[in-house]
Amino acid sequence: MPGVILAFLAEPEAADAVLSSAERLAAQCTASRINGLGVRLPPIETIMPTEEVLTHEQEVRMREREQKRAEALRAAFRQWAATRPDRETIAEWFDVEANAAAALKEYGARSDVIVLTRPCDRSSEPERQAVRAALFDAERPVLLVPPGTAPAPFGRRIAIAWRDDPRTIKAVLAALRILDAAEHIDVIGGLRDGDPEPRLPEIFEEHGKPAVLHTLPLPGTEAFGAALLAKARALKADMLVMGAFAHNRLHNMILGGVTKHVLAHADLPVLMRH
Amino acid sequence: MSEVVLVVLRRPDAAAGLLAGAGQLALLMRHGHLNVLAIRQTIAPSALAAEALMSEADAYLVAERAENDRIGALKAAYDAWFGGSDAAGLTSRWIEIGGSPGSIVGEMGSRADLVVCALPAAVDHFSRQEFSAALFATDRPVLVLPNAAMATIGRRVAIAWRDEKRAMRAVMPSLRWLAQAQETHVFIGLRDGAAPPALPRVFSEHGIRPELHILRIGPEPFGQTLLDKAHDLSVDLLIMGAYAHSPLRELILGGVTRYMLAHADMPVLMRH
Repeated sequence: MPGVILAFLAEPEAADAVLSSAERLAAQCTASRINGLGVRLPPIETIMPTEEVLTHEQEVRMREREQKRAEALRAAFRQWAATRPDRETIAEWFDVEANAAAALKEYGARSDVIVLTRPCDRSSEPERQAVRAALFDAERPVLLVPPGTAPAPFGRRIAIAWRDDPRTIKAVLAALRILDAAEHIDVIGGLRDGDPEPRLPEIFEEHGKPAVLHTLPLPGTEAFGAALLAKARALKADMLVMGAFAHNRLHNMILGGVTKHVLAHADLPVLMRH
Repeated sequence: MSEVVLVVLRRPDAAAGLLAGAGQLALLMRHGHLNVLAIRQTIAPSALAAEALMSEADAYLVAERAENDRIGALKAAYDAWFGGSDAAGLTSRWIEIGGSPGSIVGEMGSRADLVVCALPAAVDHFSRQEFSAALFATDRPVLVLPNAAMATIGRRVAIAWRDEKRAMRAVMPSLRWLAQAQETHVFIGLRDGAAPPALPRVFSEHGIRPELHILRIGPEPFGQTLLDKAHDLSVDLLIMGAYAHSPLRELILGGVTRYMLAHADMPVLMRH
């Protein structure tokens, strides 16, 4: 498949982790192009509505700061593009001044997978908005990479957090396609007392993919998100696949509990799809 | 992995065409697997009690026999297709179940990669239920085939583009096999006085170089403009977003979408 991967870079220090993950993914699904995206915030987006008007000096200062960050991102992208072993894949850098969420929606919607750093404590508000737009507005699978160093090779042993619902099914369809080269698939589902004995969901057999079913008791002693991550580690999974859940309470998006936990704590790459 | 195509059979006279069309598109995808679905109607005896000259039990038996005949004819069409040369290179499974057409198509379709069904007939309540579920409940692209048989599908492809998310959603999954088409065209409608659009980047980024055609939006239905242009170019598959709005929860199809469902005489790949 002549696939396109969008690598969204927010912080120069995290650029390498995102780009090497994008490259790993490109090799896995034989993508033909990696688009790098850096978004400069327009000064007007950075002020609170209640604050006083934006002065000219403030505006110049903010533009300069964003310009500097964008240049550092571009430099990181260029350096990675020049040194990567795989030159078959086209690498192109895009640098736009825009609302972060709008940019992710636009560039993300025409990509096959979006790769970005999962949010952490030091993530800025625009970066968080970008992650949410990628997950919930772009309608594409999103690979969230733990912040910090580049992850170990992933995509060989994947764990899938199963729930019988449309989001999970979309995440699984995307994962089976992107991670066709995976050697082993574990499916992890929650099981309540009195539930019938679960069977491996039909989607795996239909797509010709063998998988092994595991269950976690519900409710467990810890949050399901934590139990899920622990189980994935115990199974030596190098990657987790799951649906991304959110309720839209009058446009104030509330993330689902498991989604929120994994977004905040995952120490392995996670492929999510809303 | 295999790409799974769910083929929804309803009318026996349309079955051969649906299987042939689904098979052609599945061959363009890698490792296409066809799940061929026939939904058996549960006959409720009381619903037939108004039949004038028959007892309730007789009416029930007649209806049941008719349903058995229909399913039998669909299975015969499947066996003939599967035994023929068209099915070479494909795997498939015959699935026969009873129940609500909408919920079965919704559930099985959502875990497939593509759903194939016939143009819904105005008089056939069940075919409309199946079609609605395929388009609105599966979140998958749906290949809608006209009753006329097509020599080829997917060799000369046209995309009815709008700068809108439904069109993008229809295009994205097609990009996995679109490079294998001999020709691709992009149709964009333009009102008088509007600035001429450029070819959307999504195509070139995915290595597709379609020819761009700007179609004037005039007083005639734009759906007909699309079909006329497609015929001019001998297109054998039209890809488009399916539009609907829901005032008070009842889905009303958009104008072009509705026109296509009433008039399309070629395969249309739609996605809501």
